[in-house]
Amino acid sequence: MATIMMRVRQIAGIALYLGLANAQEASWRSPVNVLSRKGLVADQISTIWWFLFSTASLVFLVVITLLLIALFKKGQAVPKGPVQENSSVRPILYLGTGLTIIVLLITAVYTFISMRTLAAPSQKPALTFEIVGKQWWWDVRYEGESISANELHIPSGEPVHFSLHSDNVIHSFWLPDLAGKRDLIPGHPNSLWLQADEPGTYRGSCAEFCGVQHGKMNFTVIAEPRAAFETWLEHARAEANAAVSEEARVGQAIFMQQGCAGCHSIRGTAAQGEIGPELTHLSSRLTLAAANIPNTTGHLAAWIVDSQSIKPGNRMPSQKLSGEDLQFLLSYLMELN
Amino acid sequence: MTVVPARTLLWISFISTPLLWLLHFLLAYLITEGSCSAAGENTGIFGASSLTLLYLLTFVFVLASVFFTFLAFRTSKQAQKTAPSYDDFLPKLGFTCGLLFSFVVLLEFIPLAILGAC
Amino acid sequence: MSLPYGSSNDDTFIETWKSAAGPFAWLRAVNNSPIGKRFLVTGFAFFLIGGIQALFMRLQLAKPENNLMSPELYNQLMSMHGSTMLFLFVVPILEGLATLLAPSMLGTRDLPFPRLTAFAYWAYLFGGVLMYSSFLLGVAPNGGWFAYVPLTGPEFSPGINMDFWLLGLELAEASGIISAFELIIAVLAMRAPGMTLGRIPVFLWAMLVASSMILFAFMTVLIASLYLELDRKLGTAFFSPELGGSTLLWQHLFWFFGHPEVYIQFLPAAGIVSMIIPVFCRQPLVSYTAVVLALVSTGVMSFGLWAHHMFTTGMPDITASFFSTMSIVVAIPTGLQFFVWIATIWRGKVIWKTPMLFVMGFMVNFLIGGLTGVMLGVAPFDWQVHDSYFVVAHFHYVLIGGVVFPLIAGFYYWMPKITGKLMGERLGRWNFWLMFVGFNVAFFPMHLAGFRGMPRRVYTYIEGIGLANYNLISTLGAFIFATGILVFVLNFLASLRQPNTDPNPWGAYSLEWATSSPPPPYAFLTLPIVKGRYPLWEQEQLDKGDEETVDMVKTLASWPLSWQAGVVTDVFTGRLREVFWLANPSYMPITLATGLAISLGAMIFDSYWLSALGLVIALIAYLVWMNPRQRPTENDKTIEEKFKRFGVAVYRYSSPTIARWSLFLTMGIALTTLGTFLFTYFFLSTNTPVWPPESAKLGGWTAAVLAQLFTVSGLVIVAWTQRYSMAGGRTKLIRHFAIASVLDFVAGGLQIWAYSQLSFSWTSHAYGSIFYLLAAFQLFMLITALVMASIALFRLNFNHDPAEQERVQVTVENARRSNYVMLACWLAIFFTLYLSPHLM
Repeated sequence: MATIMMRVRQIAGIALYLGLANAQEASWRSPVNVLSRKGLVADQISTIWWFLFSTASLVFLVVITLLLIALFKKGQAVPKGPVQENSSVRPILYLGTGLTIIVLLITAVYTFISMRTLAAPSQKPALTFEIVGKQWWWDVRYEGESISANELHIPSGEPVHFSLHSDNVIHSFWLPDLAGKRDLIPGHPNSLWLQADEPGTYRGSCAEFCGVQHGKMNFTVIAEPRAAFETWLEHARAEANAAVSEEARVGQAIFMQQGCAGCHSIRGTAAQGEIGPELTHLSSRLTLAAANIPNTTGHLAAWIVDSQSIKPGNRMPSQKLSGEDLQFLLSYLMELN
Repeated sequence: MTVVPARTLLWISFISTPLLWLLHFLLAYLITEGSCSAAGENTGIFGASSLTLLYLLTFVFVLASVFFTFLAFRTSKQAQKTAPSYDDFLPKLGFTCGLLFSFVVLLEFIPLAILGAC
Repeated sequence: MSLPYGSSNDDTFIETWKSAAGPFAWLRAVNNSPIGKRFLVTGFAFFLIGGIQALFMRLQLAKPENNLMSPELYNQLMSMHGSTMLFLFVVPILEGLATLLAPSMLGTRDLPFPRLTAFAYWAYLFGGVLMYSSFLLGVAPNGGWFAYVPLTGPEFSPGINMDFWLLGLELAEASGIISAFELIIAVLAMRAPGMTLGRIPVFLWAMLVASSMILFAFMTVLIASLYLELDRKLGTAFFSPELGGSTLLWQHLFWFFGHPEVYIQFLPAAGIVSMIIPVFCRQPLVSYTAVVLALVSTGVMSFGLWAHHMFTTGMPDITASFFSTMSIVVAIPTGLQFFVWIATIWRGKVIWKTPMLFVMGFMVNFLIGGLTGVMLGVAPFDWQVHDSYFVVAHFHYVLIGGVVFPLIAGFYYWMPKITGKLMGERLGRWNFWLMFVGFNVAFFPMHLAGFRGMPRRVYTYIEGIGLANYNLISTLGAFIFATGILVFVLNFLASLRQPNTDPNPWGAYSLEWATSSPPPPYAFLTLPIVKGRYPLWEQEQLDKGDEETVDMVKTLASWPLSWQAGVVTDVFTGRLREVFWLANPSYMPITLATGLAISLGAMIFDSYWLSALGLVIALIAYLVWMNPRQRPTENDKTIEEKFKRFGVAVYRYSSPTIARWSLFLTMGIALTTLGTFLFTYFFLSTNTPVWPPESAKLGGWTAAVLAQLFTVSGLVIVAWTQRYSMAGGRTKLIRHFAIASVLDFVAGGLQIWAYSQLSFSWTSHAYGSIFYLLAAFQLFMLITALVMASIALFRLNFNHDPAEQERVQVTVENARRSNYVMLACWLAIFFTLYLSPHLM
């Protein structure tokens, strides 16, 4: 009996834990929608969509109705002998084509007008972030310095400018809730502007096939009021905390010796690797592995020792660490907030 | 006496306006490719702004398309008289093509007017 | 019982047209009917393979974070699914259908080059097999069917996966070009007497337009894949941004092919629809001209759409707006066509048979795909849904709804002309409804998944983001659709046990329905005489007409019997012009294709000796092919005299008219190649601040200028020969061509010397890469012109057979024309390489 109660408690505990985790996670793991009207650009594009959708529905209905009538009305077979093209039904042809032309012309004019409005924001963006696409994660830079990876805060209610680059293959930056996508092309710098109307957490992904882990190249954008954003930016640009606890100090040494530092950088330390994401404020981020798993100690541990089964083919080798060393390393990384 | 339209004329009446449109399209594309940066700056070509060039180009091509459409129309009338020894289908097709493609070239004015160059 | 129209009971004639006999005969069969059937079977096999790949992908995507397959395997399947469907299924199967049906629809006997037909098939098969052999080594192409650089370049795809793709593709596309080449000539120059341009069956108008598009569009993708292969193997820098190359260049070239490609697939499908609707409504099309106008204008306009695949690459708004305009406007001709179909059905009395069901399925699905297509042309909307599942939904609506449905309709409709059997109506209905429902269940939810932020080409998606249900439904739908395909296969197999059906079971109007089911290999002994667009509806008898034409077709039916005779008719009037010899079965087409496959396959493994050996085999095969030992011998002076009185020439070799068309098309291909190279040069120049790079120094100016002067004077001398007739001016012709050839030869030497003075190589920078490629092309064109001149000289000198003088005349004309094209290339390239840097 007691064992059963224990089991029940265990299950309840797990359920509670999962529930909590869900509440935490929900923010970055939530559905997105092109039509959600959460950003200025996306809002205008959804207006375009509803225009296109209603026109197309109308055309569809008209054509299908005509087709159905044509199919089921009484017709006649052509008699033997010389075949004449019949001109009595030509009006269907002229009317149909004429209407097609008019609908298409309106669509074209509407397209150009909306392109003109979307070309630039009415107010010049005060902020520019540089996004560099990597295989298969996102390097977030501000004034030439990497300040984050796969996660970025922006102020809400104002346009933000992105300059988009790649030094490897082509990627595409897409935040469905906020704006259309734009490609990151080596040798061809691009830019994009967008605006989050309300504070919130927005999920984005890479939309151009970029190799084996294209499917797991996501990111998170957190829009927050200007003041909160500025606090974040200042923090993000600051150097990493010094390791405080004893475990963390050992962990830092392991980080430097194990080769982690060869790929990752932690500002304010000797770690200056440029291959993987920078980790200066790792534990303050919501996710790991390019917005694919939540950033919890458990998931971080799993990622370090088994990154190749979580995201097969990614550039980070699964690490061979003793349980003890892993614990030290984790305490160090969790202190990087 | 009716004159049988020359074979080359039949081909020209058919293919000229589609080709004119294609040429116009490629030239317009190359002008913007050569003179506009993705950021929207305009460097111009041969000292002229690309917008002026595009207007001029479109104007000239509309005129040319209309001319060849008329040519196709005349040829098809001529061929009709000499049928059935000659087929009037090709110039007739060319005439309808001419109407369509002249219209399409003309349409290029719309984005120019709304968006301006670059 | 009387024979169906066009069939012969003459043993010699039947023997002449029978496919080659013997155990290995299938290796040397050449005529359109066996080869066309092989195209269909192979194409359908690739369709099934590509479909199975899709089912595995759908299983992997059925639930979030599924582990059914590794991402690498998924990417391989994704790449091969796209490549198979686009390169190995749709275009080849449509060309195969046309290869099989065109002669009987046109009321003629075969395509102009029977051996080339066979070669096209073998090249296609070997290209596909080459691409698929990568699976044996577990290194299937994994860069997508679009193969964007730099992902597929040497740095990010160092393995041999993409080499299989590139080289297999080159062979398969070469096959596509060859089939297109043949179909163009067949439709233009080989029709039944009386079939004027305005009476060609709409399906063949569609094939004519699509084939012409293939010539231009496929060349650009061949050239793009050549650049990529050079980048991968020889270290050129076409696509390396750090050396002045451009990654967008690939996208421009690929989509300059890729968008017309969509219409290359759709137009023949629309042609099938335009053939079927009149039959099952018992009404002519309301406007034949409107339909042909729609086909032609869509074909042309499709060359102005390519960059709508690139709206998100960051192009100036004005550029995007041009492509937006065209992407929207291209719906006008399609709309026109749609309303012609509706108006035709409006008039007619619908007969509900399976082909008609599939056509109706097409109309609904394609309408949806077309409407979303217009939406995608609206650039700002495209920024959101580009490369999302919305696009996946859109193009499957267009390609399955718009192409596969009509294709299946076509199979049901034409099966009597393929196997001789009718397929079952009962299973046909099951087949249709399973496919129609399955298709919509599979692909409609994808629109919504796209709106929910699902990007294309992902091997999985995380949980909790609202994509699981859409994907599960899609997977279910895919399996329903696959069941429908299975029913089709079963129905086909079941139909094989049926007896052959009547010549015209549907009561159709076009000429293929006049012959037996299946048609005899020669299609028509007595060519039909056509008096309208709907011959079988309008004419009681096909062999009646004006006295002269009747006499001509009767004469042709009696002679020649012992060699395969093809017929050339006038492009405008449809009058008989020439009777010529169609080449007999040969092992050379398969040998040539094998040689090329060895050559390309060996390149994958850097085995250049083997590659050269393959080329040698190919070259020998080509030479043997071109000089057949058996020529027709059957001789009948009185009949030839009779033909001559009709104004019909008899040739015991290839037809001069067809030779002229061939040269014309070949030169079109050469000029497309030149245009693509020049576009590359100028595109790269606008992408670099300093062009040419400062380190690049041109040397040998004097030699280069001299070389141009030599070629120009060579041309003047060649052009002068236009004044000399064959009869009087033979020696002058010989003298002029000889002098011009010497001048050209010297020019080549001077130009090579000039190029040897360059301070850079093709690996230095993208400028060097395109410079050397243009130089190589320049010399290649010179060699071509020299070879043509040599052939002309050879024949002028040695061929005095009076019966063959027209052939010699054509050789001279072709030599002259290729000289013109060569000079155009030379001057354009000289201008580009030497003069243009000083003008910019």
